[in-house]
Amino acid sequence: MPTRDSAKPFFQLVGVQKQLGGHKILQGVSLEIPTGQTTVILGGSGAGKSVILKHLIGLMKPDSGSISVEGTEITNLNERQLVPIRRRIGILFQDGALFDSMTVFENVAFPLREAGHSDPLSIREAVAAVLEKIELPGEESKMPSELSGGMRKRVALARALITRPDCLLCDEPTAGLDPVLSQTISLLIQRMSREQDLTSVVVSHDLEAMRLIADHVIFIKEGVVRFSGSLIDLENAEDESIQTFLSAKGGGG
Amino acid sequence: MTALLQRAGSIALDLSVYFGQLGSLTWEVLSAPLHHRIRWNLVLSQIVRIGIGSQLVVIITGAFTGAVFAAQAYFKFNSLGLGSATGPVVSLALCRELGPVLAGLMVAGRVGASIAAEIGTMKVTEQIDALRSMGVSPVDYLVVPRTIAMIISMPILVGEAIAFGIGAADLLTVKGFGLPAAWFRIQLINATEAGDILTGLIKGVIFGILIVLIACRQGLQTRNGAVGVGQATTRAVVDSSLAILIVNLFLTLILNQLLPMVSFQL
Repeated sequence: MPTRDSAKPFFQLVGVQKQLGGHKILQGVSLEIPTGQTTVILGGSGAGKSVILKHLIGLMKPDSGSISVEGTEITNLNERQLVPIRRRIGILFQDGALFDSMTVFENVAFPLREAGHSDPLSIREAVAAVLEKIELPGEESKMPSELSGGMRKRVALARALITRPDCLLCDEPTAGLDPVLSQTISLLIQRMSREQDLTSVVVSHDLEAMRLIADHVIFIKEGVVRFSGSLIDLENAEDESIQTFLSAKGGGG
Repeated sequence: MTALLQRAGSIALDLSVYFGQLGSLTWEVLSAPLHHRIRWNLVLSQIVRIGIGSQLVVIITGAFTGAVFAAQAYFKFNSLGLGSATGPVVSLALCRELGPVLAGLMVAGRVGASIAAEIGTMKVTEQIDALRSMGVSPVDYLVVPRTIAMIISMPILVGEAIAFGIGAADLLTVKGFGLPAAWFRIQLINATEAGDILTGLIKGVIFGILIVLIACRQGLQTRNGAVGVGQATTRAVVDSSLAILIVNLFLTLILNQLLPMVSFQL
């Protein structure tokens, strides 16, 4: 594992613009994600949060602007060149994105096998250990369709973390979950981030759940960064759109 | 007039994007073995799904088409006193055209639809992004195994369609219409050259590649959730069926130069 410099940002975006289906989704986003912390990207639906997340790992390419990971420019890397960077980053997709045709065991073991691990016993042990950590021990043989929404997210989290990445990206981890489950999954992300010393980026509109885990907050509106700083500073920010977002969320939970 | 030009322009643009994507997918499939190992376990499971799973429908199609074609040929030829021409005509038609085209169309319907729906669903549920995020190329993982499985399966399926077609024609003309068995079979064997069978098998392989690439492209480009998956599935079947019929004409002309039909005497 490369040595990590916590003063250097893990991700850096400069002037990123992206248009999708004729709509300008990102309109010059510049931001830095600090290393070793949990950064929450907040914003309403359609603000461009998930699009930012996909740019961080090269799943989407910006129309203009640049993206770098620990100082390495990834904007123009092709899929093959991105592989070593992607192997250092785990991602939890919004609905889990578990492979339907595979069991829980095969899903969680997949990144390990793809990274070149072939010893069946050590893979089995690693999967059992990570399922234990996300509090789903012994569920290896179930198919994704047999799992509830919360369980799918936890299995997806296990799959994202089994290769012990340096960074974890989460796309709306609490979407579609009740408040109790939202809190459980948020705390799980926080615990795993601390245990594995991760740089985490969580995209969400769920302020209540994110309050528990955010070290650093970035607020996005209409494809532009409106705020970057601590949660306390966010709450004291004078920007009207931030206050509107915070008060709406405060009332609605 | 301007609207018409705009419409024509937009169709031309869509077509060039379509063929561009298809060409780039073909290139990625061809170059994939240079960069990645071939996943033979996935190839094997796709052979089971594509090849073994399509057998019944292809055999039934081949058999009934062979029988119907034999009946029509026999009615016409027998009235002219040329009943013995039935075997050669049925055999040539099945080997060179009906076997590969009908097997291709049936596989386009069955396998093309299932490939587009499966990959399309994976696309809209972010499973394709999940693969990419783990450093796995969707082309290497999904398209290459299906392409190899299709290349292996199609000639076998076409061979089965031809064999069952001829078998059914034999059964109907000999048992049903009372044409002497030796007459039918000797004429048929004499008139059928290796080149005729090879033409059918080559066509089958090319149709298989067309189906798999068109269906995979459609799946990988799917957008807009369940509606998009439905549209991708329909387009995969329609486009690959049309591609088979259009490409077949050119293949017939080219293959007739390379493997010319030998004249036969009754």
